[in-house]
Amino acid sequence: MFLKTIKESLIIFERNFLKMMKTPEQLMDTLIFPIVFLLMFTYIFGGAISGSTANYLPIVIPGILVFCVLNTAGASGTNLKEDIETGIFNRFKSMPISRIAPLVGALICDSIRFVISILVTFTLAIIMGFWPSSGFIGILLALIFAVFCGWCISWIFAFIGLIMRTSGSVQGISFVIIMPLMFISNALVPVDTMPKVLEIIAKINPVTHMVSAVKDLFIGSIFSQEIFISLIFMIVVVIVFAPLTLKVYMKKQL
Amino acid sequence: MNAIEMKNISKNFDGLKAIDNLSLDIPENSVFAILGPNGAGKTTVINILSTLLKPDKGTVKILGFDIMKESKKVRELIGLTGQYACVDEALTAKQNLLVFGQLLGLSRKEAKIRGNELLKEFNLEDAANKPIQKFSGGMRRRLDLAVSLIDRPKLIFLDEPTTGLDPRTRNQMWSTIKNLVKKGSTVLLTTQYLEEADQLSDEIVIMDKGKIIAKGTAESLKKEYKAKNLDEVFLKITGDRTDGKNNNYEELTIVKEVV
Repeated sequence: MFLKTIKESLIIFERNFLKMMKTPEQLMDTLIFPIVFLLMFTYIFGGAISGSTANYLPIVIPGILVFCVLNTAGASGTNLKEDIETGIFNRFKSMPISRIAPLVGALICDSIRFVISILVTFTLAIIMGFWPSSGFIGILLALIFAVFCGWCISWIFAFIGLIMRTSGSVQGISFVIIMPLMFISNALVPVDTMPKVLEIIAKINPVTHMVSAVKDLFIGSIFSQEIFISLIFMIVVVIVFAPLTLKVYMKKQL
Repeated sequence: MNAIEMKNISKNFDGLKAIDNLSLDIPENSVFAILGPNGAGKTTVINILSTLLKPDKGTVKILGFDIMKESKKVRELIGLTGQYACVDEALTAKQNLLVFGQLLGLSRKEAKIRGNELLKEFNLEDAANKPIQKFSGGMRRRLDLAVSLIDRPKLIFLDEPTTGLDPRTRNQMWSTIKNLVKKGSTVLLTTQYLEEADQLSDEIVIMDKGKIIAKGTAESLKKEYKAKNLDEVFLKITGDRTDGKNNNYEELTIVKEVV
């Protein structure tokens, strides 16, 4: 029974993967924002914020990686809803397969999406002259950390994808959630220059902790408090949203 | 044995009665048509029968299995072609058949062989390697039907198989369905087109507002209502039900337009 579910999930993963490969523009869509932000903030605001472009890179790149992860997670909710809108989930549900397989298959495929978008963004960062002091292991851990966070957060957007009425509204909501979280955090600027109220919000913002965790991994401190806080937050997200998502998914006629 | 036994099925959506105490038996090896205007509850019936939707009240048995208690077993026996073609746009016809074949428990190789068989049967060989995006509406529907026939289901649900198709592709689809029936499948189809019900089915039920308002063969219905064709039958029945003002007028014109 369990093996059958895994087999079916993998078949659906293969389908989603083929689909992703055939529509590279979908992946590009999620990458355009982080890339534009990276270039714009580095070359336009970087000097003003940190004195020089080179000084700004270590601040902005962890931020952009987290942004990239959030954006991809948001897109995974939109993709899920788009898929549901085609009616194909109804076909899945009328077949003698595990009910959960289509969702699991989609989430496995999302992990690949995270890896690709993180790698593209990080490659661009290297081209721009960024090289973290932690060396290869630190980079690897930072990227794995980012992918893991993305996967956890995609449960939130999968849930939104299931409860909203159209894929357009899923996209809209994702944007409204992600943008303030990004700007009121240390992703693009140091928070201590913000007005007191914003600074407090920014310091509570989980995005700030995630960005700090990536920064720590880039300087080689693997056992930092920020990583611990972020991981706890991620686990809470999964514990809350995975059952919620599954419940809505199983109950709802899609 | 009956292919489908529905007893006192009701389904409400937000307080609106989509299905109102419906009972219906459909014998095996027959083609059964549910005819009715938009919003009559046809798709809701199909969704309940294909285990996508739980009825609020009543019981349904598909080939002897209860849809609620033995839904897994039911899903092994049925094939569903929904109102909109639900195949993967980005994938090719071959890839679609391969994915669904494997999901239905065939090995990769078996799924490939079965896929090729179906492509041949449905005249889709030339387009086998093209993404579905490039398919015409008729080809999409044919592929969709092919997908639901992969594991040779005993009972096939077709929800408005030709809605939105031009007359020529509709005729193609009809001959495809007729071939299917010749091979001994039980088919339940819903349609807004009177001509379609007349052409394809052994027996017809006419539904309106969640209820069955007439039942019989095309011939018996024509006789009973002293009408030349099903069109007139439909008009007479729905006309009779109206008290003074004809509140079905709008729906009727829709049906007439598409016929």
